[in-house]
Amino acid sequence: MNIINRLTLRHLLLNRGRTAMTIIGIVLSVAMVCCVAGFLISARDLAIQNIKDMKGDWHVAYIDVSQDTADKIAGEGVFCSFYTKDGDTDGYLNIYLRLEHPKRDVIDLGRGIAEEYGVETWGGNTELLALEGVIPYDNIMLTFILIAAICTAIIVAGSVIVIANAFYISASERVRQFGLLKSAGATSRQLGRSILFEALVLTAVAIPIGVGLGFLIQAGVLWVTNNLLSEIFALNVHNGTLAFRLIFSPFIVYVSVAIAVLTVLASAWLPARRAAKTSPIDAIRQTKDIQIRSKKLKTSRLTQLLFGFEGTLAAKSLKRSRGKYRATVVSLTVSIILFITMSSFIWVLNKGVEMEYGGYDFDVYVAATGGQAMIDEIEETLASIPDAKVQSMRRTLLSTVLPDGFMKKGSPVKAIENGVYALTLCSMPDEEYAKIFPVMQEPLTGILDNTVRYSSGNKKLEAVPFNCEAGTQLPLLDWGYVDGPSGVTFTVNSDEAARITIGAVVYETPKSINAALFGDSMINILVPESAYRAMLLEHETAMAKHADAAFAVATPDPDAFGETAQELLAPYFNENGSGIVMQDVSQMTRFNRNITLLVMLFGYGFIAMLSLIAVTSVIATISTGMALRRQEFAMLYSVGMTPGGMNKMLNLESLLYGLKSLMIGVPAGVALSYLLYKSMNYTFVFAYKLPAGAMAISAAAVMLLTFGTMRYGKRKLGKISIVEAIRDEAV
Amino acid sequence: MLTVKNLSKIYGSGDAEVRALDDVSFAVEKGEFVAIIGPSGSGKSTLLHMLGGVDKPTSGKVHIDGTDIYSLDETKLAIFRRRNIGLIYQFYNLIPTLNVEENITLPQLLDGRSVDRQHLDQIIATVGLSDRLTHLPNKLSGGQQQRVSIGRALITNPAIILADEPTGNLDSKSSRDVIDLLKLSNKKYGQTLIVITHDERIALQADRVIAIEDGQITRDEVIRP
Ligand SMILES: Nc1ncnc2c1ncn2[C@@H]1O[C@H](COP(=O)(O)OP(=O)(O)OP(=O)(O)O)[C@@H](O)[C@H]1O
Ligand SMILES: [Mg+2]
Repeated sequence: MNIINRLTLRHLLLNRGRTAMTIIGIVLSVAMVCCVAGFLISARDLAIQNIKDMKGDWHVAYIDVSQDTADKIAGEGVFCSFYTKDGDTDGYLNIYLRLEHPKRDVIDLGRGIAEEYGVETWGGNTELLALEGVIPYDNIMLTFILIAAICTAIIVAGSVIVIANAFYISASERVRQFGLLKSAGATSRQLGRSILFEALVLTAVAIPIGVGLGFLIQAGVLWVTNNLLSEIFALNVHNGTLAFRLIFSPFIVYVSVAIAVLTVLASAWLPARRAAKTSPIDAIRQTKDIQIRSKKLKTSRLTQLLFGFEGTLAAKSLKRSRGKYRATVVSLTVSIILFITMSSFIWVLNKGVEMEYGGYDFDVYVAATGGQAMIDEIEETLASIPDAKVQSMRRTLLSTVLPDGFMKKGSPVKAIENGVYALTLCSMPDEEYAKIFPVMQEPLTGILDNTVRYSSGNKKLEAVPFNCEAGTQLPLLDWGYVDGPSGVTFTVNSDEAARITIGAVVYETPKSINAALFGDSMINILVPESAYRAMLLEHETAMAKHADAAFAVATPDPDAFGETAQELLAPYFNENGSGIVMQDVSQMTRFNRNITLLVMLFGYGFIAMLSLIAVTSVIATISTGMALRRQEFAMLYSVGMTPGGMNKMLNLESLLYGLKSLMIGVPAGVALSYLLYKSMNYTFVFAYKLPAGAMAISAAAVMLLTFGTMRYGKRKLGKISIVEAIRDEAV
Repeated sequence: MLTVKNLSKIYGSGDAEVRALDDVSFAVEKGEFVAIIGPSGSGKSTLLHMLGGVDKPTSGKVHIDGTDIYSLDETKLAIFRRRNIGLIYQFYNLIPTLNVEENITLPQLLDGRSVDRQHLDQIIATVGLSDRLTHLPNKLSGGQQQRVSIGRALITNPAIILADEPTGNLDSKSSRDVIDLLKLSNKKYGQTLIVITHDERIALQADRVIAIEDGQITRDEVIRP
C-alpha cells in the first residue's frame, strides 16, 4: 500500500465519528434500494402467483382438441411441460402448455402451431408472459415499475446528497494535507485516486451490512403486510392463499451494489477533482473554502440589532464558508420537502380510501325507530351485551326552508320540492357539544356540520355546501305523506313547529360523532342531547314521530353480537310500527383499516428511512464543521469573546441554518403536496388542506437537530485551551 | 501594574514532563517597555500566554492592575482580556471569515462598542494596510497578516501589549515601522509593552531586558531607567 493510501486509512480511523456516519449513510441507502428492488420483485412474484391461481400456469392453450392432436402438440420440441383438462365437447380436451424458452414471438409461434394442427380455439396467457418478462408489460405493471423507479430515484438523489456531503467534508479536512503532499511531490492523479480509494474502502464495508439490513427490513415489512393482506384477501375467493414472499434474488443484490457504487463514485468525484485542481499553496491556505463574494459582505442591520455583534459574526461565518453551509442546508431542505410531501401523500391516499370505503370504523350498524322510551331501552339492551362498545345518535328528520344566500353556488344539496329541504337534527352528548358551543335549553341551538360527501359518476366528492354564519335561524317544519286524488303526495306543514339557531359552524365532523350515522339528508345539525329530548317532548305531534336512532357497535365478534342482539331485542321487532335494522359492516371496516395501514406502513417507512439518511448527514456536516473551527473559536476567546457570546453566536448560526432550509423546504414541500393532491382529484374531489402538522413537525425537528448538533459539537470540543488550539496548525 | 509570582507551567507528565516555566517571579511598572529574549524552546511564548490570560498556569499567580486574573471566571476573564490586553501571537492568528478591517476591530465589536473611525484609520495607516481593508486573511502575505494582528492588539488602547516575535516575518524596514508603532503607542498612551524577540536591535531599544533559559529568568537588567 502506498503512503497516500496509508494516510487515507489513518485519516478514516482518526475521524472515526465521521467515517461511521458516512458508512451509515451508505448502508442506509443500500438497504433502501435493496428494499425497493425487493418489494418490486415480491410484488411481481405475488402477481405471478395470483395469475397462476386464477388462470393457470401455462403459456399457450389449445381448446377442444382431439386426444391425437393433443399428443402431437405436446410432442413439439419447444414445450417443456403440459397438462390437460376435459374440453366442452365429449371426447375432446383442452391442453395447456409451458414453453421451455419462451421468446417475444411466442404468440406467433402459438398461432403457427394452431394453424398447423387446425385448432380453432387457442390462446396465450399474456399476463403471465408479461410478468415473466417475455412480452412487454401492460399498463398496470408499468405503473408499478414507474413508482418503484421514482422511489429509487428519490433514494438515490437523497443518498448522493448525503454521501457527497460526507466526502466533501472529508476532502476539505484533508485539503491542507493534500497541499503538503503535493508540495512534497504527489501528483494530482495520486490524490484523486486516494479519494476514490477512500470511497472504495467505505463501500466495501457498507455494502454487505446494507444488503443484510435491507433484507431484514424487507422481511419485517412483508410480514406485517402479509398479516394485513390476509384480512383483505379474506374477502376474496382466494382465501388467504396469496402472500408476499421474501425472495433472495441476486438481481436485488446486483442492483443495490451497482447503485451504491455509482452513488459513492459520483459523490467522491467532485472532491477528487477539486483536490486535483487546487494548487498546493492554495490548499495549504485553504483559499477555496472561503471566498470573498462582494467587497462588502452585507449582513442585515436587523441581525446586528437583534443579536448584536455575535449575530453578525455568525451570519458572516455562514455566508463566507458557503460550501459547508449549503451542504447542510441542502440536506435539511431535501428532508423537509420529502417529509411534508410524503405525509401529505399519505393524507391524500387515506382520504381517498376513506371516501371510497365510507370511513367506517365500527363493526355493526343498528338503526331503530320508535318512541324515546323504547329507544332508550334498546340502547340499554345493546350496551348490556358483553364485549360491545355502543355509540348512539338520535336523529329527527325534518324539513326546512333556507334563507337567501344560505346555499353556496354549485352546492350539491338539492331541494325536496320548491324551496323545501330535508334537515336532520342529530343528538350529541352535552359535554362534547359544550366544547364547541355552550349548551342552552332556550332557545334551541345547534352546530351545523358544513361538509357533505357524495358521488357523481365515477367521482367521489367532498364539499362545503353552505354559507352560514353563527346566529342564522332555520325553521323546523313537520312533513308527511297525504293520500290525494293523484296518489300519495309529499306535503310540508308550513306552520313552523320550532326554530333553531345555528350557534356554530364546523367544517369537519367532531371526533366524538360518527359521520356514518348521519341520515340521508345533507343538512346535518348537531344538538345537545338534553335539548334534543326536551324538544321532542315539547313538540310531540310535529316532531317525535320523525325520530329514530342509530347505533355504531364495535365488537370483536360481530356474528356473536348479532345473535345475542337478535334474541334480546326480539320483543321490539315490528311491534306497533317500530323497526330495527341491523347490518354487519365489519368486513368493510377491516378492509378500510387495512388499506389505510398499508399506505401508512409504506409511506412512513419510506419517510423514516429518508429522514434517517438526512439526519445522519446533517449531524455529520455540522459536527465536523464545528471540529474544523476549533482554531477560530480559540482565537475568538483569545481576543475576549465570552462563553456566553460564543453560545449566542452558535445559536444564531443554528437558527440561520434552520430558517434557511425551512424557507425553501416548506414552500417546496407544500407545492409538491398540492401537485399530489391535484393528481388525486380526478377521482376523489375534496378541499386541499395545508399539511400543517407535517410543517410544524419538520420545523421543530429541524431546529432541534441544528441546535442539538451545535450543542453536541461544542460539548465535544470541550473547554478549548486557547493556546493549544492556536498552536494546532492541524496539518 | 503587572506582577508575576512563582509562576510555573508543566506540560505532560512522567517521562514526557516538560517544565516550560519554572517558578518565575517579576514585576513590571506601568508604561515600561520590556524585551524578553532567550533561545528557542526556553519558555518565552509560554510566559507570554500566561500573562495574556489565554493559558492556565500549573501554579503561581499573575496580577494585572491588582486583579488576580486567574481567579476570574471564564466570562470575566474574557471581558478583562478584550479591554486590557492586546496579544500578538507568534503565529499570526486571524479569523479566516472576517476581512482585515473586521479582524482589527474584533475586540471592540465583541465589546459592543462602536469603532472610533479616526483611531481606526490611524492604526490602519500605521500598519500600512489601507488598501487591503476588505481582503480576507488567506489573501494576505505573512507579514501583512502579522500587521493585522498588531492592529487588532492596538485597537482597544489596551493597558498592556504582549507581542510574541511581532517582527519575525517582516523585512527590516517594516520591522522598524512595527516597533516604532508599538513604541509610539507605549509612550503616547502609557501602555505597558512586553515584546519577545530574537532581534538584538529591538531588545536594545527596550527599557529593560529579561532573559529566559530553560523556563527560568537568568538575567533581568534595566537598560534605561
Ligand atoms: N502544549 C505543549 N505540550 C508540551 N510541551 C509544550 C507545549 N507547549 C510548549 N511546550 C514545550 O515548552 C517549552 C517552551 O515552549 P515555548 O513555546 O514557550 O518556547 P519559546 O521560548 O517560545 O520558543 P521559540 O523561540 O522557538 O518560539 C518547549 O520545550 C516546548 O517543547
Ligand atoms: Mg515562541
